[in-house]
Amino acid sequence: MSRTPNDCQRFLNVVQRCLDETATLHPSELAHTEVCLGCRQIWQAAQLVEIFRSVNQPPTLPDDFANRVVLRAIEGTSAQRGREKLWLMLRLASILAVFVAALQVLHWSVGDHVANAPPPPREPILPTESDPPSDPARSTWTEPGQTVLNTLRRAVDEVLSPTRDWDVGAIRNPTSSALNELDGAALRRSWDKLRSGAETGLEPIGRSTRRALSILTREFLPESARQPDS
Amino acid sequence: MNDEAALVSRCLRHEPDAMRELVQRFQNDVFAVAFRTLGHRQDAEDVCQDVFLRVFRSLRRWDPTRPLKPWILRIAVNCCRSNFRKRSRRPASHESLDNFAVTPPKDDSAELAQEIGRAVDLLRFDHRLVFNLYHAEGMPYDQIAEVVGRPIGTVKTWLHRARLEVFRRLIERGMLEDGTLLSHSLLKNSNVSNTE
Repeated sequence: MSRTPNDCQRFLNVVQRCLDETATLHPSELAHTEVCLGCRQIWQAAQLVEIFRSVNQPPTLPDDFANRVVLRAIEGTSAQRGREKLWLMLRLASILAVFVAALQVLHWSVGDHVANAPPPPREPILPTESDPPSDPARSTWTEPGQTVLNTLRRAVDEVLSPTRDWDVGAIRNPTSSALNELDGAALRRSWDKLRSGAETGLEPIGRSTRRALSILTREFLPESARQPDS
Repeated sequence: MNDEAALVSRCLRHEPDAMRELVQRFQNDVFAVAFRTLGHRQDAEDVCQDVFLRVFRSLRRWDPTRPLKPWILRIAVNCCRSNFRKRSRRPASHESLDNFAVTPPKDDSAELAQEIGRAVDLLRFDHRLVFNLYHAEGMPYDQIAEVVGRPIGTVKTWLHRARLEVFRRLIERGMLEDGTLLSHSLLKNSNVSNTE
């Protein structure tokens, strides 16, 4: 038997096929190991690999392993069921909340419709400032409205404070001399304050309105009609 | 309905006896794969437990027309791979190989078992997996391909490379009767690292 690289490759292929159990080593092929020490070592190593299973036995699992696993699986199942129940309840609660909110909105719109209707001729009911709003939902809206009103009132008071000393008659009947007596700087200051006060007072309303409009746009308008958020 | 399908349907009804029976039927196969692949008893036991918990969670997805064992072993292989990735950040340890229950030593088979185990443990994960499934578990190629989720050709390639690497390491460690250390040129191309 010769000892060329081709012979060695052929021998190695045979060894692989033997380990694959698709071939057996013929004595003539084994003769190559007599002349090639490397292939002889490969053949010996292959024989060691063949007995790998018999010399390497894994340890056994504890006796109660199956019971432990089943216990954990059952615990996991009940926990999962609990989570599913909780999730279901949350979903039901949210659906219920949406339903109640829808009813409330409907109630408000009907209430507004009734309030906007022409009053009955005999017993006109006029709201007075001292009467607290009977509807709790209305009282919820009254508070921020009152805040906005107070802010505006404060701003207007601030604006008007420098003008309290002005001669009202001069403004009503303006002549050149009377107008000259007015303080131009104070006028400018008042105008600036009026503008900034109005902006500050109306800012909450403007922001909420913008937000509400953008939500409405997102929720109800078709895709093509939407404008990108600014 | 065959036996496995009946067992699975009982498990799906959460019958503890059926669940226990399923675990007992496959626990040795799963543990052997986990232990040989991970080389650590405690890790293998933990993985084995995780495997069965996953099996119980996923039983509805099992195809009753196919055998149950490869399906469970595939889950086992995936769990082992995840565990191996987590452990790969830790330094490698070979002391776990002492956990092997070696057959009563008529000769120096204990040392032999350790040496082969070391050589196999240094293979990269996929090569070690197919080497163990074939040489230790005695699984045929088609079943290994199903378990690892790769074509048979790939499995054969991995196994042949794994063998060459094991040969090379055994020769380097002087485990052969012929005391001369000689690294054959055919084995020089089989150098693969123990990484994925």
